[in-house]
Amino acid sequence: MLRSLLLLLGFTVVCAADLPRGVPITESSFYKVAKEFKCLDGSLKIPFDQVNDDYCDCPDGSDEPGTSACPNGRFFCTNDGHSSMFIPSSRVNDKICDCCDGSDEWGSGVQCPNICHELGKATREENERKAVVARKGWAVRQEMARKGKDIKTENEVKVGPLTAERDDLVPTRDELEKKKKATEEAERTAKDEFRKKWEDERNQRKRVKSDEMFTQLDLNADGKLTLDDFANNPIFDVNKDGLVDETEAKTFLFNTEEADKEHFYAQMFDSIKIRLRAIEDEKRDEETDRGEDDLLADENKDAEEVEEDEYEETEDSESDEDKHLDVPPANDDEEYGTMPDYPEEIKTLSSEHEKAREEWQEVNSKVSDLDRQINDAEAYLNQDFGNDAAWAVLKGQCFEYNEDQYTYKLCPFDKAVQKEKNGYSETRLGDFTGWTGKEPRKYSEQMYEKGQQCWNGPQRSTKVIIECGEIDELVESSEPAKCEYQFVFRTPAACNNPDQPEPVHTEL
Amino acid sequence: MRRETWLLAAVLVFAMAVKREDFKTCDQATFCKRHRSISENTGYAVDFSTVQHSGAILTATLKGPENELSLKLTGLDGGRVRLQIDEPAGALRKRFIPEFALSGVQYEVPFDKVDVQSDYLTIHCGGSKAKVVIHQKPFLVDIYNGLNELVTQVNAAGKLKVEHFRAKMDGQEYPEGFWDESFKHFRDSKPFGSSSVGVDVSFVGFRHAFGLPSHADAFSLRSTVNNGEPYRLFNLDVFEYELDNTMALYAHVPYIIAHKKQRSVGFLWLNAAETWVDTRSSEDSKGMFRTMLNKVMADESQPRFDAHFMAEAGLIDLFFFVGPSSQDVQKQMAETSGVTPIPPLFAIAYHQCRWNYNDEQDVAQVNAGFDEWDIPMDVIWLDIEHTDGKKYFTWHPTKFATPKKMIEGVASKGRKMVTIIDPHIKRDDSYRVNKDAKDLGLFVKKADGTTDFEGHCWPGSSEYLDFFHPKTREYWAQQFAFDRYEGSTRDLHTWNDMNEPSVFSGPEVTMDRDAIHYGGIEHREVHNMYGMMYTSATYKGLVERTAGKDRPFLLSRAGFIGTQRTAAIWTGDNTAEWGHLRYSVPMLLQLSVAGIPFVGADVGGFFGNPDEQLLLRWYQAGAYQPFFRAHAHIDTRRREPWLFSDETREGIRDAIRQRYTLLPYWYTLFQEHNATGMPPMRPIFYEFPSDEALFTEDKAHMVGEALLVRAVVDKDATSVEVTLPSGENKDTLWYDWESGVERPAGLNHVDAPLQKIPVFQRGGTIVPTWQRIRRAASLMKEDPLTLIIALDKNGAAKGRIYLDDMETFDYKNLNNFCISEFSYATNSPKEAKITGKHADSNGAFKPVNWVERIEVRGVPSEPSKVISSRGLTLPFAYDRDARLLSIRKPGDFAGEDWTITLNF
Repeated sequence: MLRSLLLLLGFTVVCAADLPRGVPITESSFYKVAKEFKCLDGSLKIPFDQVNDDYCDCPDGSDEPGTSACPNGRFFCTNDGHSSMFIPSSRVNDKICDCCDGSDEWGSGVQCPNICHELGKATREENERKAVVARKGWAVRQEMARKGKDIKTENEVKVGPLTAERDDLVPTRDELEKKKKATEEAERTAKDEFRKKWEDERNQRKRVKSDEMFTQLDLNADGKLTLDDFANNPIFDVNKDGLVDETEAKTFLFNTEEADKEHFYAQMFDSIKIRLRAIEDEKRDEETDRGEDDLLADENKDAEEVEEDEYEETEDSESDEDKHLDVPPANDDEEYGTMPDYPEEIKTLSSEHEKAREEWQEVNSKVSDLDRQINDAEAYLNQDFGNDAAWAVLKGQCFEYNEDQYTYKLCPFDKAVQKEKNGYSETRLGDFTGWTGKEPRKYSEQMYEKGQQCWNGPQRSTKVIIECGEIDELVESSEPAKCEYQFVFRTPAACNNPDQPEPVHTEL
Repeated sequence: MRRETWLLAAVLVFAMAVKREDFKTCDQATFCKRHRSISENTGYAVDFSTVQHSGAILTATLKGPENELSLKLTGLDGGRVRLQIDEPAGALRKRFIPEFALSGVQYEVPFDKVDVQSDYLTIHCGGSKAKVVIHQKPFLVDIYNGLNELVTQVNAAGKLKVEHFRAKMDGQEYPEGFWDESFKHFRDSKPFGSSSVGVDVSFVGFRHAFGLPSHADAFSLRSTVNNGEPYRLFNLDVFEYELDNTMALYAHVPYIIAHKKQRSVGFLWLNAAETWVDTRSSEDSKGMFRTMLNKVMADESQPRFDAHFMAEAGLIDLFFFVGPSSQDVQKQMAETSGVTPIPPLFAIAYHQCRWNYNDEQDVAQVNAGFDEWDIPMDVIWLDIEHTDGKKYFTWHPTKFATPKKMIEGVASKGRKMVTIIDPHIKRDDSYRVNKDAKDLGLFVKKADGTTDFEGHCWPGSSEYLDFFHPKTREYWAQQFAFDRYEGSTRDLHTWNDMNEPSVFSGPEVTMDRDAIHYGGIEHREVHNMYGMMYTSATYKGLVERTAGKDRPFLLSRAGFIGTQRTAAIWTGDNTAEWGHLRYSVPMLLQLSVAGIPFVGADVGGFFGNPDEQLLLRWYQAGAYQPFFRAHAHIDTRRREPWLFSDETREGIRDAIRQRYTLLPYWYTLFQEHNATGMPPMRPIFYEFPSDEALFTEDKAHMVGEALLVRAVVDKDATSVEVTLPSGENKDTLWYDWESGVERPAGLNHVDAPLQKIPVFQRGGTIVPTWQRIRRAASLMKEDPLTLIIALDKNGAAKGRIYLDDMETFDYKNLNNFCISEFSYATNSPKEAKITGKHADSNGAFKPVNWVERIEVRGVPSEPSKVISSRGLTLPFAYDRDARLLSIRKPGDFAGEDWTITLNF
């Protein structure tokens, strides 16, 4: 280490003397002392004494490598003992030390100490520390990669037999499904027919009752119900003022002028029954304490519906019909009877259908289960677990990070979650959507998106920054913008072999 | 700023619109309704037997059917007249005069002469600067400018009304809301009854009037008479304000400037109470106030602009500025209400703000990000989340645990920081400021005058400091001392927000009007100046913390007459929509003409997420507005420039760099403002008082006298139409600012692709620039200058530069400044001379800035030789097609006298 350092030092010292300020050795050939200087973009030739004369002549800024004159120029810090670098010309002589060797502040009056050796040392130590971690991590990664490959192979191996088994079952399942559908259809048809017949019968009975009531209500027996018929019937004195006024009567006629039997049956009968029953209930209330019947009746009516029901009561009022009524016109209003049991032949059809359904279901759930297994296996195969599949080990695991108030959880390839420390509920910060690192460092970042919607904000999302570490751990969580989270996750899966470094990308 | 937890409901109705029903209409403010409905002359007459005058003061009694009033006319220096109408001596209660809003002593100039005729008085003001005629019956005041032109009238429509203080009598009938008024579930007890005042003021011969900031409306004042709501001036925290609206916003200056060809006139309503202004521009005398007009105006066809001012309390206290030019009016206003001290350089550079930078690491990353992308930036801001529980002067214990270190980190790159400090003080005995203020009795009191007023704001239950109490101002100022404000350094500056004041739980989101301030003053009497009193105390603290050495920077949201003396203000919580970008220009012009020049709008829009195009265009507009700060709501996505596409990031970088290029010019403009009152950002008519078609222009504006800016403020626009004024003699030349290519006066269609900011340089001007753009402005102070000279029709130009240390008060205390004037003169077809001249011998500052380059635009032919002061031949380049000359390294210093000779 020391030797290479000395070498480097010697090298630059030798060459620096000939170079204009701010020029790297690699560009020395362009800055050879001559009569003229040609701008590096070739756009202009200027007298050589205009190089670094604190005036920008070249459009590309190449004539002022050592001053701040060119807005687009750059200054080279040699930084012996540390990494050399370019800085924008605007940082030359701005009274702030940018180069660790202090070379950028050559004319500002600011004394910048040369701290390259300390920095270099610190950097090297830091790099060494990182290398130790990376070395350990790299070893773990190899192991992870092996496991990852096994997982992959396992799943690869699985897919074939699972698919074969599934494909075997599918025709059986389809056959059973057909059978299930056929028996289902037969059962339904028979039941429908039976029910229809019963309903016809019942309606006929109902019509008879309706006609009876019509006749009873038609006090003047003119075959029509009019206001008069109601006005003269004390039953309809709803407000009990001894009179049936026009308003009261009208409500019973449902806003028609008159009604014949047909109309009465179609539009009024059901409702009038309700009305009469209500009157009946009221009477009973006065006599005794409220009985079961009323409670039942109340339950059947939603508070809000009461009013509406009075006008539009339909079939489901039938359950109320079996209540006795002492009011004469209604007292023979009795149940039309309930539908009898299905006959034996229909019951047989039912049990046949049930059997077919059970048979189908058994096979179908087997197929579904296989589908799921195949999907899972394929997910492993299609998922990008890195070049060596080391990441596959992390799928299905979760890692937590504790902060003041919250615990954060990352389940790689699945989801990111936030939990309140003393609470039970979890907030989803996003589901895995893919690798988002910029090439060539694709595996340095993952995104988790479409988490829980923020109040007055976006759906939560989480960016996971991935670093090399000796073990798998979630080490940091932050929320740079509202509902946009950022995790730092360390894992050996992100470690490269420090002793076989990737090609160095110089920032030059 | 914004309200989050408290107004959940407001946001849930997410139509991105103000909740109008939360704010009063004129009809809901009973005094406004009463004044606005006046339809006949209220019948005042001057009792001539009471007229007395001596020196610069004339007094008289006004008698009317309602009551008797006392009138006082004062002649002030520089073409200013003050007219006060109050209750006579012996009134039940003294009316509040916001003297504190004025700049200090208002110098009186004795009248030259007072003529008394049978039914009118003529007062000739000192030095023939103005003349006032007071008519006896009905009472009417005519104001003439120094050219003896009638420019302003008072009470021409007879709307003078003063509701005098009285004792409440049982059985007596009072107007609606006179002793008690309710709005929504808030009740305003009015123990003293209504004491409202109102009068009409007319600008005779003027069609266009401007001012009455701040409203999200056009620059040219609209007519509100019989046309919607009057302009409302009542400082309020308005959540998601709407455009095209006369509703009140955060800052108000009751001031109007009217302009016609070559003439301007100004009017100030010195009253700190809620004020409404009903306006009308009429083409002839058959306007709003026709009754009186026929009598006094010979010329029936004259336009006029009428403004009916109505205030809830206070007295009628009117200042008239007679011009005759806009520059004169601006100076007259500046003499009355003061000017902005020259800001430190960083303050006029670019500010990076967000609610909130999350922690110290975040701040460090943002700081580094600007360097990484080589984008200049001078200030990083911290919003309320930096505190410990919204207790100002504290730091969040974990997120901002080492503030001093953080600030030093930012300052090590030549940058500054700003923290927010609000006037609501968390109710918490363990909070030092609360305890001190309670012990010392420094809080505003409830209507009972003894209990501390309590309301809700960011910290929850809070109390509000009473800045009308001298002890409060003293105490507050002390809190900024470095040993008191822990973690602060001289690189930390201040942002005063929520100072309308904003009270989430109060009526119209502000303080109850019957709350009591020092001396028994009701809040209603002083409401509009609360924020100004607050910033003045903060400013005092910031000055005193360095014993008067460093110039502080302070931003305020609320504003009033005089705010400019201590703070910059911004247009509050705007929205990331094109309309809000568009309206930033008229809103800033309103403030500028009303005497508040250091103004800006949140770049990018506070609420919502701007798309890249909008964000970039906003940066471009902001780069040419006085206060240049990007800011965003906590619910928005991050907006640091490098988070966008390369094209957007480069465009933003370029816009910011254009700002930094022009910093020497902006700095000089702020010094010009300091000396003359002229705002750096100004309407076109200030520079071109005869170009009538441009009087109401509010998409384009001037920056100083040299640059006309017409930023793109419309979505998807790739070109703009801009009319370049031709000037009085129809011979003004214009040049594209970036390329230097000449542009004809008149209508121009200018290509404006995404990266382009349409800016034009006026022929005849010289603009000093910095071309070495560094990461922060403070690092550029000593850099060489490039002068950009644009020639006029006569081949001439002039300009100036003001330089000092750009950070201390030495310019004021030690005359440590330098003013240099530059000129270009074509003496003959054979010769031209460029000169630099040290222009103010009082200035002791010796700038190290040398002139590295001179660019001359509109040079008709190539010079044969360019010779420097020292006799050296200077290299130059000449572009025949574009007629541009660039002189290489003249090398002269900005503060010295020098001449460069051009031979042709």
